Amino acid sequence: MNLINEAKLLVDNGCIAVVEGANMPSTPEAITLFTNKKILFAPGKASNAGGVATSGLEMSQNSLRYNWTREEVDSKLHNIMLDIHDQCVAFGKEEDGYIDYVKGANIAGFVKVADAMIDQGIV
Amino acid sequence: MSEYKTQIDSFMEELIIKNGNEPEFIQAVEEVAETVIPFIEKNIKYKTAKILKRIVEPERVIQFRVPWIDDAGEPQVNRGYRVEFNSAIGPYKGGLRFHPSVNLSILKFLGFEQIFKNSLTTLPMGGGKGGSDFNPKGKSDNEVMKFCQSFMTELSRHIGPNTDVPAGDIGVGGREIGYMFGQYKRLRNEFTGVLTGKGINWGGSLIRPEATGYGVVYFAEKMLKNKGDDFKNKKVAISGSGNVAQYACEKCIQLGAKVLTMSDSKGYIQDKEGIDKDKLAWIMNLKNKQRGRISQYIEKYPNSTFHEGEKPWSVAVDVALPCATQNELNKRS
Repeated sequence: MNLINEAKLLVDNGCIAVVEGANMPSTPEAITLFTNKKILFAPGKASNAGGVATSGLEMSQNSLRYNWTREEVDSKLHNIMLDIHDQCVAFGKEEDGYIDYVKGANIAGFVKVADAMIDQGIV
Repeated sequence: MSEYKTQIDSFMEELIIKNGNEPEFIQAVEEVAETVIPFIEKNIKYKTAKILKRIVEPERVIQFRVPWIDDAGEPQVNRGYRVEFNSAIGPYKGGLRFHPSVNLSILKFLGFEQIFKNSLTTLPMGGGKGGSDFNPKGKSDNEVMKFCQSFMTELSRHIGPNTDVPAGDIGVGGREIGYMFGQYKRLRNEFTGVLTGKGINWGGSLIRPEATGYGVVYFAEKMLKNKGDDFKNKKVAISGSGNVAQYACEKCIQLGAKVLTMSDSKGYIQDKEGIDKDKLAWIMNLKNKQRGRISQYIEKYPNSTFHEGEKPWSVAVDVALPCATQNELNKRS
């Protein structure tokens, strides 16, 4: 969605959700349009985090010296994606009930790291 | 947002003075600052602890010489990097990129974003990124191995399963991870999870190939569910036809959606009847084995259409999934 016209067409044609699988395929103008039109929009940093999450699950399996089955990894991945969604909701819900997933993802990601930094002192 | 413009401007001014020669990094920080500063102003403990000022400074940046001998016997030199950005919630974690465009600004930009993305996953992973200006394209297997071994010889001093766990990125796939893992194991005499994206027989994880695509659809499904809706009979446009697009398509089909489009850099195909399981299997063979173009789809399935040089966003759909990762290179990263 590099062009604002592409985003407009999607909205005019009745699209209800845009969920990024790639990293930042939507321009800031397109994102503003989706948000103004109250279309559900998920930024890649939240919706495509399944890749790095599964890298994290690879680390867990290496530490355990044990391999999980396809079903086990898939079910953990599924739960992680639901958790990411809920964190976006917790920090991105507007007064009118609309969920700003961009804001939610940015703040949720920040808060966890920032709290850890405060707990660990000036290091 | 504008009510905090003064705070954002003065923060950015200081950042630019310190990092003026790093445009990609500055832009990445600005995007985060614009949403986070209003939040910090309302949650004063973060302001008191100067968290934002601390978080934009990488904990450590390593830059090193990577010498290697090419197939003609000529010495070559590349520049290697590892940006260890933040370890507050876990070991540094982020990909290695081998591409001629790699420089410190780009790696700081990617490493900074990685902190927040990793934090969102709920797993104990800090943020990092690394790589080299080495270009694996056009190099022999032997040259790639020589480079990877030299690169890891220095990098191995700085990483470890409890310290920093790199992964692949652009130019770093299964082959490169294998050569680097082999060299780390040889130098340290340790078989540990020091890298991810490993082969399935030597420490890799199942579902890794499917993970991004499945994850996108799991996320989208929850967004719809939150509004009392689901994927059943939804019309879906997907851009791309690589790994992410393929597995996003597979999961959409499993959830009862109708996927109408897929694309590559030459254009998109539209199938009004929907891309079903068998058609997707054909596309996966075309793209992963034959290395063909998506336009060949209309020869196999004549009821579909190909739209040269266009993206699929003019097709009327309920859900749009932009998954064309390859084109990203030209944009910013």
